[in-house]
Amino acid sequence: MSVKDTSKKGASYVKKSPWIIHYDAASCNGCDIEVLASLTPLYDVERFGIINTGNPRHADIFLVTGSVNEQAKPVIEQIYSQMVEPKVVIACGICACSGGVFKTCYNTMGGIDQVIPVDVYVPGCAVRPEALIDGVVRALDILEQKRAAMDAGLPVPTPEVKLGVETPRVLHTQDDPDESGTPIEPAAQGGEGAKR
Amino acid sequence: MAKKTLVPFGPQHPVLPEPVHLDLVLEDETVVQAVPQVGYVHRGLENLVDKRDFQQFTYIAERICGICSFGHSMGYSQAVENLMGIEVPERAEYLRVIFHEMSRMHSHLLWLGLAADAFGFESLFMHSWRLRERLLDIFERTTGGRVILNFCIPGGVVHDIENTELEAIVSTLRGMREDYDQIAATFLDDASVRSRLSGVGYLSKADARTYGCVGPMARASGWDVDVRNNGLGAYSALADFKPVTSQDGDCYARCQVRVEEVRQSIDIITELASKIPDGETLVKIKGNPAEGAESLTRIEQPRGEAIYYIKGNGTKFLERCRVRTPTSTNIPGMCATLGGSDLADVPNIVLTIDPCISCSER
Amino acid sequence: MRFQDTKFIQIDAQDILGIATAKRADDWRFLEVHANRPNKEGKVEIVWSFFDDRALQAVAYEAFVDPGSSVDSLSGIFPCAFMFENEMHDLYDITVRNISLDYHGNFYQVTCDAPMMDRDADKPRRTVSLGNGGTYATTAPDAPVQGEARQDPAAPAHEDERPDAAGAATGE
Repeated sequence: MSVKDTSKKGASYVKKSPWIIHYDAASCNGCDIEVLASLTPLYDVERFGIINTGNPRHADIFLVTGSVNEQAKPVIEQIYSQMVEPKVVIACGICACSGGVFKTCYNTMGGIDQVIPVDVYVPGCAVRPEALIDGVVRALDILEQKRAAMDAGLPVPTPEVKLGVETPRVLHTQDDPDESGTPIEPAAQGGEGAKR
Repeated sequence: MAKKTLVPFGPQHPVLPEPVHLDLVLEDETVVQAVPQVGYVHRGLENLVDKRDFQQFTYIAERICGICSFGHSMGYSQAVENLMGIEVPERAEYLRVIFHEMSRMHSHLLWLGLAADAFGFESLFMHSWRLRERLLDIFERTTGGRVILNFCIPGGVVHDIENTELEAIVSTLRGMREDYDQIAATFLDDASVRSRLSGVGYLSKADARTYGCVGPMARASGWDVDVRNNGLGAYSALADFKPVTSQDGDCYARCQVRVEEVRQSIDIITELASKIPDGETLVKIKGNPAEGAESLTRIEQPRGEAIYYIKGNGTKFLERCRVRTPTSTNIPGMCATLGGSDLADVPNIVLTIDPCISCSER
Repeated sequence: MRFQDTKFIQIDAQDILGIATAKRADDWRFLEVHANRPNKEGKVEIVWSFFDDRALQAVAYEAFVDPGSSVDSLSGIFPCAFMFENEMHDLYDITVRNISLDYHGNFYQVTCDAPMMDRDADKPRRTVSLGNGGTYATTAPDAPVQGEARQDPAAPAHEDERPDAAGAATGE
């Protein structure tokens, strides 16, 4: 794979073997079994040193499938907040990207980016393992950029959380707001603001 | 006096592919009561009957669950045909059953891999899923999709599969059989698997009937409930079909039943591919479901009996589509078997039920 | 048999406990219970279905009840019924008396109470509160949801049934 090595301080510890955590947020399971199929010998993401872990604190990449429902929302937020920076979120499958065929159902929020910041979107129904590996490789680049930013003391670039259509807000997830990196834009409407 | 503690299991757990939450009430290490909490995958898709007409709803029905996807499209199509009195060509019935049995095989191989992984047999997980890829190759070659096939619609199947292709499918399955026998033997004959699964999670035949369990879970307790035995569709063309049962009723028996069902599916496909008649594969549906018409049909999904209730209202939109999946009926039985088991056995018991939560919550 | 014949029988909702007890004594199997959305008269239809393994016959009993009314639970006779009855309570606001395991409305955490009772295809999105105290509400109640074209129930579903289709339908 040809990825740009943006590391200035020598070999990257992050790109060598990032660990994945996978969660099914109201998905039909099609994308989940393709995520697991990517680990199997035919597609084999393990050649990148990637291991599927169950512990959010060990994981660098968060693979989420499914159009989020109300009950899954706090679970995703909790897993995301337990992961340690630098971290990347990959939305697998069209349901995770935008809600898919279930977008207008009463219990779906319509995509992962309504809840947590998403870095890579991988479409497909169900998402093909080849596309997933492509997404993971791009996520490794983004992970490397975040690590470099952290090492240099710069703010970590975090994408927006796109809540609703008219009122996008930035959901800040770092625990200590005083040392927060990402500048928060107060929302245009609804002046409660998004700062934690 | 033993102190009672509450231990939450799930929804995010390494052994579970899907989110289900169990509240386990423990006394020391023994589970006294298990209370399920579902709803993590509830999307409310039954409300989409308002927005998708009855033919478009096939695509929603397929996406109820990715593992049982073909079964849902077949069940829904059969329900619509039952509702409107449409007779499907015989060749289409045979093709549907062939693909349904392949779907059952892929589901059982998937389950075998996950069960092995839960035991720590990671390489068996890899082998089982590597074998499953051959089935997914067949799906992709014939229908274009690996997981969601878009093949079965009300009226028949979308396009014909030629007899030469069917012969190629049968020879692929025959080639898989030897590898599969090796994998199954490695799992079932292993001493540690046997000791961890035998006698664990026992469900008697009487309890299986009381709790209304279906599928391999009930068949492992000695009750031969199987919709394929009812002579519907192309299953009536089989010379001799007996549901695979076991008398032991424990986790090991459930594993044995599923392992044997894969072999039975290979036999079914081989037999039907040799008997398949020529002819049309799709009839066009005219008109809409009549007002007040209702139909209730059943099929045998990999996990048990699934029920499809459909009601029409005279327009092209259905009034109601209700799917009852086997896992909804098996979960109360599972909670009953969890009572009295050790905490360490809980993941094994949950896995041998083969829960498909996204099916049961729609 | 090519078609699956299910008998549909209309009953009164208070008779279901007697019917279920008789079915259990006859060794029938309980399939499921669910509710249908309100019909034109505003009544909710509850459907209980049972199956006889020997005769391979499914029977469904249907009762019309007023929204918000209550029915008896079958979970004392058929233990697996509690899953369906809790779901019916959450989605259709039908109270079920004496469920063996009663979640009291917490079976599914859904965005609104009794979501299936509303027939509106373009449901207004609810107001959601963020964890930090802010709220937002999405699309206006009667505007179509982005990307969804309203479908006309009266329009025919198929190309060749449109009234101005030229000539007879082509052979299929």
